[in-house]
Amino acid sequence: MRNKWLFRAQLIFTLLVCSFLIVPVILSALAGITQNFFLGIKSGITLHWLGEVWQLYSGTIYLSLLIAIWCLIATLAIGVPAAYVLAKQNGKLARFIEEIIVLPIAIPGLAIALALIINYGGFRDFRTSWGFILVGHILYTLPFMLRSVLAVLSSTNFHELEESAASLGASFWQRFFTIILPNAKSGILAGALMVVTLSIGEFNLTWMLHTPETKTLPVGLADSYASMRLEVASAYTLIFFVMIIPLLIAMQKLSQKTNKV
Amino acid sequence: MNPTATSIKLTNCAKTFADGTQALKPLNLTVKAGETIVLLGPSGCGKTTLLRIIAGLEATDQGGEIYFNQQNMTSIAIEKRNIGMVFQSYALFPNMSVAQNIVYGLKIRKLKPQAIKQRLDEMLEMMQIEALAHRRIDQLSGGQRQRVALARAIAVRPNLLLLDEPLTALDASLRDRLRSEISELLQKLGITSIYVTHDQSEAMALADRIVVMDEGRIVQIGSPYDIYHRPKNEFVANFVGNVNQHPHVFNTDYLTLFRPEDAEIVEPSKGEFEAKIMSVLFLGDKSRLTLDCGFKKPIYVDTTLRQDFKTGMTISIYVEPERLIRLKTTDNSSAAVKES
Repeated sequence: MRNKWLFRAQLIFTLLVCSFLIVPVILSALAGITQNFFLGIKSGITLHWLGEVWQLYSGTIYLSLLIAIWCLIATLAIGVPAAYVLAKQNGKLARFIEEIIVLPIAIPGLAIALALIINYGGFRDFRTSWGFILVGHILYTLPFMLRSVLAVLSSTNFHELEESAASLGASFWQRFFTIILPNAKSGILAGALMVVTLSIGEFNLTWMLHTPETKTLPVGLADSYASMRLEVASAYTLIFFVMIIPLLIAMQKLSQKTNKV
Repeated sequence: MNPTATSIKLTNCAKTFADGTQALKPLNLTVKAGETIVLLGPSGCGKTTLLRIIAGLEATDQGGEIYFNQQNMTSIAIEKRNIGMVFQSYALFPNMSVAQNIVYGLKIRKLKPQAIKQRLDEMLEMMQIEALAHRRIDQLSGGQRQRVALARAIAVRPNLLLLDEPLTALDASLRDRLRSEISELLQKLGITSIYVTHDQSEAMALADRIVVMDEGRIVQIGSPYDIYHRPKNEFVANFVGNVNQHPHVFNTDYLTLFRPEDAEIVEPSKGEFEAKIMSVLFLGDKSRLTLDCGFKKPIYVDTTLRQDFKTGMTISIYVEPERLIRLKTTDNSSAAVKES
């Protein structure tokens, strides 16, 4: 009997915490499609605000996607081979390099951005292009790709797999494409989703690195919160959710799948 | 014998690792075409390093050379050596099915699909794993993985088959069965094979010749019979089986040893020495007696006599002179004596 009451109390507490987190999200999403937020939902539902956001900020959405894709390409091209090499080396130097690459996780985004501006801000064309933001994003997301691939590689005895492929006559590139990549697939996929999600949502760094010509979605969001009607800002947030939530769900699904194997 | 079988010659091969440890002292080894050689020794004796040098997974130190037939392979990469290799953990590719694993080497060699199919069927049949062809690797038992690993290694018709402790990961009964299967397979194929193990019974069962190794050196090369009955020093004598020191034959130049099964239990008048039974281990087909004859170390005797031996009994022991193993004591100074 007592257990039952305890269970109920815990359930209620959990639901309360969840609603504390979720209700604002729902309200915010609703605000984005309400005629007038102060009058409430009875004022009518509209796509007007979404249309307005699209008109004002579609550029930021495209730019965010563009940067996310290039960021993904770059972290794949750098992170996967780097993880492979680091997994192969056991020496102190390899661990040191790994730590260095992972460092941006620990450093505040603002500090990285400041360092980038101090060092490379002088190159005007670079400073004013979205490439400048891209570099920041790559620095920030690379550790996640690297860690993710490294974890998979260290959990399989890929070293021996590669040796046995070599004994069967496979050259380095044949081994890389037929053995290493397919067996690191789950790590690469998880890393890729993480990179895209982080890049789309990144604000700290980007806020410092952007110019009026190179605004990403989260920077645009901050801008709209500061200067627009609440409904526009909320509609904008809704678009952000629609972009980011499928990625988060895919990430969750993927990690469940890899845990099962 | 397989007419395409390859002979192997190693000259002056040594291995020093980056941290300065010398895993292998310079050594020479010749393997005849079609022969099965077993590298036997305790862990850390250099046997796996030697195998990896032959495979091409490690480079020999400067000055060492490796020949397959008369061809110098020293600087040839592993993928060009046309070997088959079976790893201790099997190293099957988890992203491929059983069949895909087996044909991997054939696809790399760009055989025609027809030929690949034919070879695959041949291998599946030979290893009796037809039913497993489309299974995933993680759906296989240890013994099945072992068969797939063997099939994959021999599918490419290698010049040389290398096996690195292939049975270590299996349980005892399966190990015995696969041991005899591998033995038959090697006989049938006639491929030159080099097999690494620390298990003396595996070595005895499989080898044409055993290479006993210790501390990076070859201690003795010989047939299983020779190694067992004519060990070169106390280390070999101890490693390939149990051995007792004879309590009554003393000589400072020679060590006199005998194997537990070579001791006879006789009437007191015919015995060389008397001993008290400290314990009896009845094994069904034989009894192993642990004896005390006033010596520091106990003496082990195996007997097939149908007699119910009891602890505390005193018995008389005789060992025929030609069954004694005599070793020059100077040979033993460097050899580590393994307690068995």
